[in-house]
Amino acid sequence: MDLLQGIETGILTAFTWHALMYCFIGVSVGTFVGVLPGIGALAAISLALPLTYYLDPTDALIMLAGIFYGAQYGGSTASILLNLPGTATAAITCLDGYPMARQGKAPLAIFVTAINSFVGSSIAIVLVMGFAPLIAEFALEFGAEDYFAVILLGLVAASTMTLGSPFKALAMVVFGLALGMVGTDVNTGQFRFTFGAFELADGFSLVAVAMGLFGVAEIIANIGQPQGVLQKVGRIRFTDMLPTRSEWKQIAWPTLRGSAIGSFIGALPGTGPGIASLMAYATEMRLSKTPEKFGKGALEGISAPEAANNASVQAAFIPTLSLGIPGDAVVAVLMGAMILHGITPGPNLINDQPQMFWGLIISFWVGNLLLLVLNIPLIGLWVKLLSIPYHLLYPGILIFICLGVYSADNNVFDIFVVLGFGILGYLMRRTGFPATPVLLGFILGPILEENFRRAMLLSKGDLMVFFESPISATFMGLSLLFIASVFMPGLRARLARRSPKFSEDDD
Amino acid sequence: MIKSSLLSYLPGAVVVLGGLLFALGAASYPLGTLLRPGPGFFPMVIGVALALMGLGVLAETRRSRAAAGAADEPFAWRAVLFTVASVLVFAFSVERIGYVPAALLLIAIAGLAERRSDWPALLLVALFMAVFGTLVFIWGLGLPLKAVGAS
Repeated sequence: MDLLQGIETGILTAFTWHALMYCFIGVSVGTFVGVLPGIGALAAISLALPLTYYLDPTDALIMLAGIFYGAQYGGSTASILLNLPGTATAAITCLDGYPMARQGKAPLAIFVTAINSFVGSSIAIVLVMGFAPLIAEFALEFGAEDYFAVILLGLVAASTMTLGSPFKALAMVVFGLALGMVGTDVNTGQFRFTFGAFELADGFSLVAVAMGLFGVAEIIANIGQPQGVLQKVGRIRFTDMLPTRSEWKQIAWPTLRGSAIGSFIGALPGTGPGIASLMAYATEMRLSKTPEKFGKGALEGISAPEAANNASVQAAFIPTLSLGIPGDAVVAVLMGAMILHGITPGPNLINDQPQMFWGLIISFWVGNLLLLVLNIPLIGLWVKLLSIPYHLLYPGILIFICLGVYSADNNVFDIFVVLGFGILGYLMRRTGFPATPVLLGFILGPILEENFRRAMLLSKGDLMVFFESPISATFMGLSLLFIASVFMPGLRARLARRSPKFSEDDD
Repeated sequence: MIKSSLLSYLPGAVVVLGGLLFALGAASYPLGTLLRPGPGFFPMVIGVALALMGLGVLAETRRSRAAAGAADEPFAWRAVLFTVASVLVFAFSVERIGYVPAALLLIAIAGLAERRSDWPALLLVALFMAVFGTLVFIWGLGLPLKAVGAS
């Protein structure tokens, strides 16, 4: 199917009244959770996941994806006005966004971040349209060993490209793989690690693991924390928002560079918007003629990272939709949603389900336009939201979590699972173990094992097969390179020195 | 001093132990051969890898111990205790007394997690959650729960 035909299919799918409605719900919920600090896109998507069981899979995906990229728009609002990132990925935006608000330039900052988010997203969506079908076609040739190698690369890249301890991240990815083993072995029907609990026969529920690690853990960590000081903005007038001609000039290049960095990082399997916005910020600071202005309200300091995190979110769909390898932990949950709806993400998706693929892409355009409206003319609404104190929010969120996991299986057992992972998540946070790799490992573990076994069967038990196929050998080589970087602290130190003092999990 | 430095090794040690236990569990399933890996094969590899990563974490702790020493935030006992209690009570009671009373219990207990709670406002939250949850989850999505009473 060629591009124009695809776009036509997409328009027919995305412009039905129900698709438009779910897209609107998705991006509104996304902005909502994005604006509120203490609840992120991942928690929101896991919460909404059980609600989509009754929907048409395409509508469900359109809505869940909308939450994901919508949250990237909303996240910057709290960063600018409250000095607290609304989502972890908007942490960098605090550095220059909050000083701008203190100088009375909050409307300008909000306008610029919304526009940059839109530009970043648009560039990345064009790339998804161009590259995903190409990569999918190429990937049709993939054998089991190639799949094994590319999934392994995704897991290794996700856990080594962090600023925290690489060993802790690697340990967590392996822990995630271990969690993915729980349940019935598909090949032999053997129960593994179920400890006699009948409820675990199908493994841990994805919703329960994600809600625990990201929802409950987040709540425990946030209770009793001092709230930021909300910058008073009063009525936001449109004329205050518009940048001057020289300000437009100032942000043009940073936006484009941020979009490019974000698209690249996002398209890599396993690495997400957090690292993308960090790298975009570091790049601008190095290129700037006035690096001393950064951290004091530099426009470049908000435009590049905001373009980058939105671009990376959209670009994360390239490996997900073409290879079935999630570009980041949130997309991994989206992939889990596809699997729950009986759709196998992979190179066949675009050919087998063209209306889903193209419908989703066109809905990205619709959603991003809606977000522009939600975040510029209607910004006052979201600013009001920020004045709701957290101590009134979290009891409600806890109830939503309980009902959400209950509804997945109509079983109280999953509430206990959520609680267990919530406590574990809080302990991990305190000891510097990142939670996103756990989720990636958990979702990819069964696929990794399946391809390993198939590769072994086909190659008659020869481990060298992973290094003989050129595709697999390339991916294996890259994985080894990433692992080697862990043992070369010099390289990491150089990378770290270029980045500002902000760690990815510092939320 | 000695106690705290030993404590800093705990996370790594837990990872190593977890990996070994997982490998031990994997050993109780048929391992199979490389030609035809059994259900225990992959978990065994994972268990060993996890233990190795734990050793890496331990080595890292040893190296960075001198540099560390940043003041940790105190463990949020109060938040953990009341959050856990509220969710547990909800889980045990929701099928017996119905969604609305269970939700009220959850909000009341979770409200204690914060040192100073705004009870009148929490009552409004409870009212909202009772109505909204009943409408969306019980009527809308048809969860097999009753608003009030055993299901």
